[in-house]
Amino acid sequence: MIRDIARKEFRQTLRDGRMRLVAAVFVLLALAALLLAAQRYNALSEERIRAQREVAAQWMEQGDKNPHSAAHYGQYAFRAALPLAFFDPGVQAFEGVSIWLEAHRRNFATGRPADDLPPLLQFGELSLAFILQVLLPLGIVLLAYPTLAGERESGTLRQVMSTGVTGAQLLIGKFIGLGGAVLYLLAPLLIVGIVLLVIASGTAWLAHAAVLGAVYLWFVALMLGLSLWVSAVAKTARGALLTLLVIWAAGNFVVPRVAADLGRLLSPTPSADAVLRAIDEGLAAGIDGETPAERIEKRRQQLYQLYKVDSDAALPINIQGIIFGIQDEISDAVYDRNFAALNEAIDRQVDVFESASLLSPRMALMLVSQEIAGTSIGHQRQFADGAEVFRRRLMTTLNRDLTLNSRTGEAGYRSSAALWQAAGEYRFEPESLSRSFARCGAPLMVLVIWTLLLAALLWGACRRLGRSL
Amino acid sequence: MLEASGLSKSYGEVQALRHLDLRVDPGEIYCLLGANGAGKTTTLNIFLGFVAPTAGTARVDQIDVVNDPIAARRRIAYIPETVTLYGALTGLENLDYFARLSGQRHATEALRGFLAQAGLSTSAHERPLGTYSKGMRQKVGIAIAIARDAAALLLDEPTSGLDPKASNEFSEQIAAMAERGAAILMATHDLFRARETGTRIGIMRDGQLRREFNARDIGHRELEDEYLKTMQEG
Amino acid sequence: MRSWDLLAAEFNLLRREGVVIAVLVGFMVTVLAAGFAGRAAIEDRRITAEAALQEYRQLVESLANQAAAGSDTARSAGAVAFSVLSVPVVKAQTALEALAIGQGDLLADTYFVTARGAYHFLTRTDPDNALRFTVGSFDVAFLLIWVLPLLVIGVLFDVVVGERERGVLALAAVAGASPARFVWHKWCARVLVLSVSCWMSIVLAAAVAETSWTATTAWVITGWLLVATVYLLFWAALALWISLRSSTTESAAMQCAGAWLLLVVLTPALTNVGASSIVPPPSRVELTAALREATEQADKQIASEREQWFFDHPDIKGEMDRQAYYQTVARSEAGIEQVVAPLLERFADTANDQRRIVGLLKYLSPGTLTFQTLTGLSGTDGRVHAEFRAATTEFHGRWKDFFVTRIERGIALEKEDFARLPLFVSPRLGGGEALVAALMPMVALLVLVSALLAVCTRRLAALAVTGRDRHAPQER
Repeated sequence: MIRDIARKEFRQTLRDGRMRLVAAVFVLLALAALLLAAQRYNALSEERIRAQREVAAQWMEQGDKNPHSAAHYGQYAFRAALPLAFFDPGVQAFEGVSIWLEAHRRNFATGRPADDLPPLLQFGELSLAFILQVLLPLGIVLLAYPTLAGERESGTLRQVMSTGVTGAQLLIGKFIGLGGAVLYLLAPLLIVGIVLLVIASGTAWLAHAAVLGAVYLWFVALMLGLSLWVSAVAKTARGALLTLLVIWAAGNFVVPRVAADLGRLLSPTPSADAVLRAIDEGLAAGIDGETPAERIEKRRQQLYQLYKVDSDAALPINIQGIIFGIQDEISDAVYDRNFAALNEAIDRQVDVFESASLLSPRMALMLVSQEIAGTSIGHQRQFADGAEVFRRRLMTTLNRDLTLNSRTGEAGYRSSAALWQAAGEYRFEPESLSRSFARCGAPLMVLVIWTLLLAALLWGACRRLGRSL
Repeated sequence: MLEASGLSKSYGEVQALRHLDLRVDPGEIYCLLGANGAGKTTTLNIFLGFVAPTAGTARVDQIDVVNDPIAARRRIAYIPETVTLYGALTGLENLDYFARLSGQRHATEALRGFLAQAGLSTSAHERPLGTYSKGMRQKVGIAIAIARDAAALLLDEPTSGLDPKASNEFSEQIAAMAERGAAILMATHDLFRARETGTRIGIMRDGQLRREFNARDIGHRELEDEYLKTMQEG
Repeated sequence: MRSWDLLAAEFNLLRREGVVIAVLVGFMVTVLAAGFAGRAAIEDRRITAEAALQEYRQLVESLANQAAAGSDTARSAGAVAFSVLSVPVVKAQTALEALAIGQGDLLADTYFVTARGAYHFLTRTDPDNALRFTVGSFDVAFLLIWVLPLLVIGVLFDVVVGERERGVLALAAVAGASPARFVWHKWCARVLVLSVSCWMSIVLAAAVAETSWTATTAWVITGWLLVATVYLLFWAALALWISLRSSTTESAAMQCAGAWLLLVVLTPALTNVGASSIVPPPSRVELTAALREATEQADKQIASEREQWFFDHPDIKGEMDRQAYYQTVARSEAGIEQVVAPLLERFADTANDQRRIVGLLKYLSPGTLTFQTLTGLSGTDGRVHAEFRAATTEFHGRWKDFFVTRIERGIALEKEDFARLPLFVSPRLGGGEALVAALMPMVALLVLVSALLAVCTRRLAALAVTGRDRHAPQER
């Protein structure tokens, strides 16, 4: 019986003029977004790979110079374009793409793409993720709203129920039938998307794509469930349509913005100036209760004792390298503390957003989608943290060379390409799927709650279906 | 068989049905007459299990409609006042669907046979239902009832909006189904059709069954007089 | 029936539609909340800027006193210019900026100018919650552009088709009321109620969001009210037209929803794609590579001098010629800027070109048109920022000259010099100027509204008062 209902629903939906209109608009937009994004991804990816190679070459070919000059020259870390960014650009437009890795300073990422985009970014980017998260649910609403409410109004529902079919069989059958029609619509996109992904990146990201696919299907099921429930309880088809449109508009456009702004209100992001000022103060104050001068002097005395000398000039090493090392110790701790505080403030804002996603499953999907596609705040942070780890290693290498291979006051000391090579070049490593997925706990829980809620609501609707005719 | 015993239904202070006792045996066509709000549709809704009675019982082939509405519905075929069905599906597809919902599977030829039996021309079988007239839709509704071969048939104002020819054809179909052993309960305003088609006639007012007749024992004029008398009673 | 009676009857009907009243009140409350949110955001920025300016003033005073006391650092033009002092340059707040955040979140409203190259402060990106940028701001402009049309659609989509379905049009015709007149009065009454709610919302939001009221504020709020009214009229006219040509209320609702999706969501997003495709921005990555190359070349040019003192560590060499060091820094920065400045100009040019294209393409969508107009009125559309950035660049030139001249001539800073430091004056957007700029888009939208209403008038003249009952099958 469920199969018969599903088959009829599927067949009827495909013949519905609305379905053809929704399908045409949706497929056209989605294909356009997919192809545009794939093209942009290729261009961006090439550009960043080229840039990373160029700065690596600049680093290697900088010639002989004092290691500390090289430390100030530094390297640049570029965030590579990840293949699934063409599906969901996430927050990438609003995050810097490069970080200058220089001595003594942990820099913020710069080169935010949004700074160079037209002034209508408020209206959103037409990505495939946006189309699936926002436009597809609208299509589902338009297909599903008359499913029960319309049949109730026309009297057909009475005839159907009079045959002895149960409410549960009817709802499940309609769910499967409509869901099948939606999948039928999505299938060509899925195929094109996977082909483009494999062309762009081989099979390395197929697991990510599979997880994304599963979560989006889950979301589609939720939207279908919600539309069916509203259709089941609404007195008229018009009432069902209006209710669903209000839910759709609020969930996609109002709640996310209110939540984001509320987050900012409750946990304001410290200004860059305030952060830098705090860092300056921290650097001046030192760590572990010692000022930088005290710490340096303590180490100096230790070295004097170790080498049994009484002046810097007498040391068999270059004390300046040690001093730079101590300064880096202090600055590393100070930067860690202040960046952590900055990140915490932002995390609290994101927490508010996550909590608000209880009102709109699209928000939860958005967070999961960005994590799996590698375009979330978490991924940006992983890029920045990874670059910082490399910077510290780089500085340690350069400082050690200065310390061990020159003497204090030796102004003419130069290192060469061998050192630059040993120091290494920055390479972007994307995060693993499991680590990205680990950050999806809260939004996935929201989707679970929605699933349970809708299941309960639909169960209630099932029981009432036979009686409220 | 359809049986109502002391059936009552109230909506708040409004008493839609009061102690209705009714029995329709297999092969009988029972026509329920009455004005709007008399309780005819409420009676049908209770048998269909769409509404629970406040008191009393309703049974379809000894199955209590309250305790086991699904089993009761399996034994009922229902034709509403306006047969809407699914406009995007053809007549044949609609019939197939509703037959399957009842747990029956028929070959396409058999389905065509049912439609033909109901009087729907062959050329209409493959056309979308959205292009049908009211009469044609009614015929599909009848075909569904025929295909189901249910023990009971409930009809709600079935001839409303039909022209005289279509009404006549409809009556013939109903009679044929009664001959096959179905217990038929028909709610209608159409006194003429009730007298022509029915085996027994009941007149309802204010939720009560006021009068009952054997159709053969009463003429058209007499029926009309009895109806008006019932409506004018206190 | 007299006009007033028709209007009064409609007001009465609306009054009884609890849902409509609730939704309108909800909208007003939400707009008010957006006003508060906007004010909080602007206040935040203002406090941060004020704090930075106060700190700068204190630092200047301290340096002046130190210079008077003979401090080497305070008297060294190079040390002050390149290592100590950065002046916060703050964009003047514009009237009703809090109502339309626009690009205000993304574009800097404060630059920290130093004597080093402009690229230092022009390319700085302040860290923030990128998720918030992705979803967009919750401000009054957003509510007007996105939500107000839904409200208008919700109230007006069935103004004709719904009455036809309910049989009211036929009854009104039989009672002697011209159906066209009946519909017009119904429409006007609803538009009036919507407009009054909209005006009250904007005025209340402005009252909570704006901290200082001036003549400019009055101009700008007038502009806001006019623009919002024209935008509302567009959607009202569109809803009427759709209601006239639809056979069922559901069809009308779907067409209205489709129009909203097309004009408020899709067309602006496609405009964005179009503008960035027609005028693709230069590559920031290329800029970074060019900057490094320029830095390396500049360093190599003065390598011999530089190597005597560790890069940026004049302190570690003990006795050293501080002046000579800062002279090399000045030359190095000048060399780098020579290479990088044209690249930065390309970004500014691209931004201007994109703004111009959006300025043309905005006429494709009332949503874009109204958004651009509102942000233009509030000075958050990027144009004011471009002027601010240009003024900052000009100021940077003066700031640099002030110090570099002294560095090159070896002139020490005296206490009086600190009182003569260049001052930045932020360009201000005049209210009248903003209103005039908003005229053309409003006129364009009004033309569209008039065209729609003219079509509606024609259709109403031939209005069918009965239609197919959607549940009754067509008789063949």
